[in-house]
Amino acid sequence: MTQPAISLRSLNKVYRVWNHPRDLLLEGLTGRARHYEFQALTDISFDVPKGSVVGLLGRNGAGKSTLLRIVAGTLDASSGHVRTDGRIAAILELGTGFHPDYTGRENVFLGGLCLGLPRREIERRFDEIVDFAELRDFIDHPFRTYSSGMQARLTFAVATCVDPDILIIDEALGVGDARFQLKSFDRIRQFKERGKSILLVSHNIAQIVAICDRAILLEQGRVLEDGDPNTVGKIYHELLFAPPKRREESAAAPSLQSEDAVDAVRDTKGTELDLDAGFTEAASSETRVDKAAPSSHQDTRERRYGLREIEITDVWIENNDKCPVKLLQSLETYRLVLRLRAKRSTVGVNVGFLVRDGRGNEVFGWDTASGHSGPIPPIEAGQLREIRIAFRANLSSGNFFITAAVANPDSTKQDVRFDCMEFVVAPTPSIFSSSVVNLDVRMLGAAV
Amino acid sequence: MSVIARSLNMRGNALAVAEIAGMLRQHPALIWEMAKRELKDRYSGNALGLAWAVGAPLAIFAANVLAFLFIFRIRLNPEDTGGSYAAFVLSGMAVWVAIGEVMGRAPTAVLQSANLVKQIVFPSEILPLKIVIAGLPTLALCCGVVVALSVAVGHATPFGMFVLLPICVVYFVVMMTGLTYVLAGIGVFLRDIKDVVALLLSIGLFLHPILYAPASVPAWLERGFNFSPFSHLIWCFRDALFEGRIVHYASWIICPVLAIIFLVLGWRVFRSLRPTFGNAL
Repeated sequence: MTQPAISLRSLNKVYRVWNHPRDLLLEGLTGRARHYEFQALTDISFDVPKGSVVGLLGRNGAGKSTLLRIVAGTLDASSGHVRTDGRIAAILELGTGFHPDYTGRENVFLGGLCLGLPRREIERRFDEIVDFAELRDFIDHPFRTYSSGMQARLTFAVATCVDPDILIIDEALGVGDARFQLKSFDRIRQFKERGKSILLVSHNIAQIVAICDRAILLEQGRVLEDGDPNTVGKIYHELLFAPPKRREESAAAPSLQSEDAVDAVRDTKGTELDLDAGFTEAASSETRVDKAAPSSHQDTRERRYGLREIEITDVWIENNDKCPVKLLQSLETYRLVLRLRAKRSTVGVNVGFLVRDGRGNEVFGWDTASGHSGPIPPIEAGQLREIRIAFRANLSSGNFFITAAVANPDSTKQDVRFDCMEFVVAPTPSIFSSSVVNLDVRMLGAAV
Repeated sequence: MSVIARSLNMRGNALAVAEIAGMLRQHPALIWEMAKRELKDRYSGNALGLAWAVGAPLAIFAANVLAFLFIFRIRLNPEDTGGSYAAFVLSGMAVWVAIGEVMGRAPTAVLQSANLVKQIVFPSEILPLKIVIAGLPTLALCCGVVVALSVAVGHATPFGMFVLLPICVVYFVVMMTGLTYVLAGIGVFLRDIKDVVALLLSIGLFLHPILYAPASVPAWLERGFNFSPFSHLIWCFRDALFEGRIVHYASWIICPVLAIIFLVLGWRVFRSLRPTFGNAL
């Protein structure tokens, strides 16, 4: 267990691009370079220990698939070291190694042979594969007639049945229906328990958070973040929706550990667009308008980004007597208050909030753009405004987090404060403690 | 030049032979399965199916016999009523059709299976080999026709058919495999290769000792034939199928030597290009 399953050391990948095939021929003949280079990966180093599930996040073109292909061995690295320990099975696309015209049965055999299983072994596992993919009725139909979910199921079933030591999955899990995804997760969990390693790419942050031990965020071919899936997921979300200016600067930050990366971004930006609200409080008091106001809880979970021409200075929940509260009773009505401050005059902006549970699952989300109310009226520069949103706490007991956001009508984020406030819903004895929401049930009687 | 120095590196060449043997031992089931699929794919999608596999070479044979025997009225010697010349031409053409079949598909051997090479850890060195194996039924069919004709006109000998012909087939397989490796490897990067090969194959029919009766070939062309490895292969097959004895002694030596050189160097070219396939596919 001492040796990692996958070990990457200062890996670089440079694609050589020839504008015309003729240039490739001329370069081969004359030896003079006629290509330009595209750096797809820069100085990637990380280990995947045995028995761990690592998720790769990143925007389109960040180098995720290139990295997976290099680890899988279907692409060569330009420099650096890749060391893998054990048999690798890779699902890099739907129907990996499958021929659309062959039947499912033929493809199971061909796929198994391609992955290095002897024929007899495939025969032995055939039933298990078909049962897992739930394709018994379709196994003798051509692969191309399968729905994409069925294709994904068969691909996944074949790739995992060969019992690889390392499983590489590129977005293949997203296609199956929820039931199959659950089954896939189960199988991944079993894999993990047997000390196998999984490296997977997904655009679904919730999925990464749910099944990965660790997440790595790639941006422009570099490791931008490497750490806890929840934290990395938030930074990825920010990368996706932050205004372009911020985005470039976070991209320019070299590969650093979690805290350092935040620092680096902060340094390049000064105090104007801080990520960390705790820092804001300490350093730039001008953003704190009203110290006397019920201050929103500044816990360490918070992540913050946006243009901040208009800011959310405070977030709190109050009861019907306008008293701020932290402990909510299930099914009671409350008001969420967002205090906004405009640094410059704005056109109408949309506000919204999100409720997430302790594990990061989104429980509820709402904003004025999708609600019927429409954007809030313009705010003059320097003015404060409090937005009150009434809601009923249809939640079960537990800890929840509020994410508050202000955005321009074109969705440019002005201020997004992830998990900026925590509140607790008091225990509700009448429902199961594992519940997340409270559906407010009433027994109507047992009719015959 | 460094290329020449590298190709003369005998340790590298010995390693290549070991690697080839290793591949054959490691993946026999996969090679067999892939070759079967290749044949199935070629014909199963067509309405006439297997009829194409048999019909196409026979049609080429028939057209040539018609043109040269009945229109140009070429004869090998005064006693020849036409059957001898037909057997003579077809004994060369049999192997040429098979060469064309394999070489024509060689440049796309890896390209057409891009999904395998790109997506999974697949032993891509199997792909050129399966093209050669899938060409063997064509060779068998053509040779079968020629053997029948040869027997009919009294040319075939048991020595030719049972000793020389199997050796010829081995030469064919080894030489074709080597060339297919080179073409398949380069074909990934230079897509024109397949058009170049197609052109050379249609010109080549006239630049090889296939159609010409020995007496009618000018000396300079006769010498020119020697520069093509295919000429030697053709002469070997002709000795086996038509003459029934060894006539072209030199070719029986040159052919195996060339075949092994092609195989070893072809393998090495392919292996050195293989890691970069992912960039071009």
